[in-house]
Amino acid sequence: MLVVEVANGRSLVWGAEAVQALRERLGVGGRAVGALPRGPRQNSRLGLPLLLLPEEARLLAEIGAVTLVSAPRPDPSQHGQALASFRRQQEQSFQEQSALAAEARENRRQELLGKIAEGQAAKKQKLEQDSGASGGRADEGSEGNETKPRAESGGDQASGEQEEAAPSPPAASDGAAPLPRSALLVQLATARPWPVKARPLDWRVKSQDWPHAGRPAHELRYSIYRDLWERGFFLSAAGKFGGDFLVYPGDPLRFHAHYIAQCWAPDDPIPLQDLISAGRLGTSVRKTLLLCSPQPEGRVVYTSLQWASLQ
Amino acid sequence: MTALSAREELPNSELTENGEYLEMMELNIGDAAQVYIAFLVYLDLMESKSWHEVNCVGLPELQLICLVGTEVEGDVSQTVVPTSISASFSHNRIREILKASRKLQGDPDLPTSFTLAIVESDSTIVYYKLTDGFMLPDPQNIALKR
Repeated sequence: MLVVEVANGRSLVWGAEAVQALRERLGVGGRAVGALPRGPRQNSRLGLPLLLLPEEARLLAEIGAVTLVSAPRPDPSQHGQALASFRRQQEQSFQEQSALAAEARENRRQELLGKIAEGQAAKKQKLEQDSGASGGRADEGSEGNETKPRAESGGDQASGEQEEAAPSPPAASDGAAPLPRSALLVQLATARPWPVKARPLDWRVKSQDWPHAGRPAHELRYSIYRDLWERGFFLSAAGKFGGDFLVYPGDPLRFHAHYIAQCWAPDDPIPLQDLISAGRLGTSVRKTLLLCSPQPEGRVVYTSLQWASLQ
Repeated sequence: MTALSAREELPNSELTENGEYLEMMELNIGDAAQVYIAFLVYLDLMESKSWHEVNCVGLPELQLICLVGTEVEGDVSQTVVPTSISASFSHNRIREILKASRKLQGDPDLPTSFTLAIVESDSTIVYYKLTDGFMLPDPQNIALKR
């Protein structure tokens, strides 16, 4: 069963598989409203969550395809605790990552131990040759006393350092720079990381999370949404066209909408000026304006309005 | 409102003495303004759109004057409902007019439809076709051919 979280009348689907199932199996598209992690300042391509129209959410709940749940609300009194818990987790994550980084560094060093020794030997040999060529006196000094060559020539100093480092490589590794805070990898959860108890929501009862129940406009729109959906149409909101629903013959990614549906109670007067505005707009975008009204017996009647270009 | 008082309100005698206009008045439906609007639409169809034939039909149960005509000789007849821009129609009323125009319609196989002729106060007229059910926004569905 798919889960739809409802908060303050807004129904959200958080799972990518759920979104796909709704679209492909149930013909319910909703609208992606989430910012993509890498593009939070754009809104041409949006991602999860998916926002459902109240009509979509109710239909899915009515046919038993989804469970509506009230989104768990953060308790303000628990805020400090939640923050402390977050910090604790972050600190724990940092410790784990530091340990892992040190371990990885040590493993790498062990792998390369032979090469390091080889390199050091080669360098030492080269230095010895160099210092041997420059004179035996400095060479002797460097081997005999560690502090003395520091005051001597550059070549001697380098050789002295080599000797200092060579006997104790593990100590140098342990003292390596710790993982800086800025290198901490932060996991962005794409699903709730731990289960949260959510209360099921009854769409028949008006509540803070579901204020639509019993609203005349919602009931009117819902009866028409459901009827059109049962006829196999794919619907989306039609605010851009001044209607209630855009009616597509199939997935909106593949088809243009054929109709702009306007929901009217059967006896509500429709001012002709409004009818003309809607009809004119529909004609200019090549869609038919569809007047939709539920009838008392539950049937929905449709009337198409088109500009008649009498010449 | 009687035909006499309507004539008094519309002093344009050329209009009011037209035979079709008098016929509309005799239908005794609606007020003089409604008759005047119906007559403007009648004139527009006959004179400007050059329809082949237009007849005036009263629908007393809907308190409506409508025009039934053919665009071209031999075409199926269409129902035109003249109305003022200031009017409002409920969807139920639109359905009732559709039902009535089904009886007036020439071809019962075509989807039931009628055309609203909406008249502005400056006598400009715009026509919108209302059809029962779903009409695809195909240009072929709009009466373009003459």
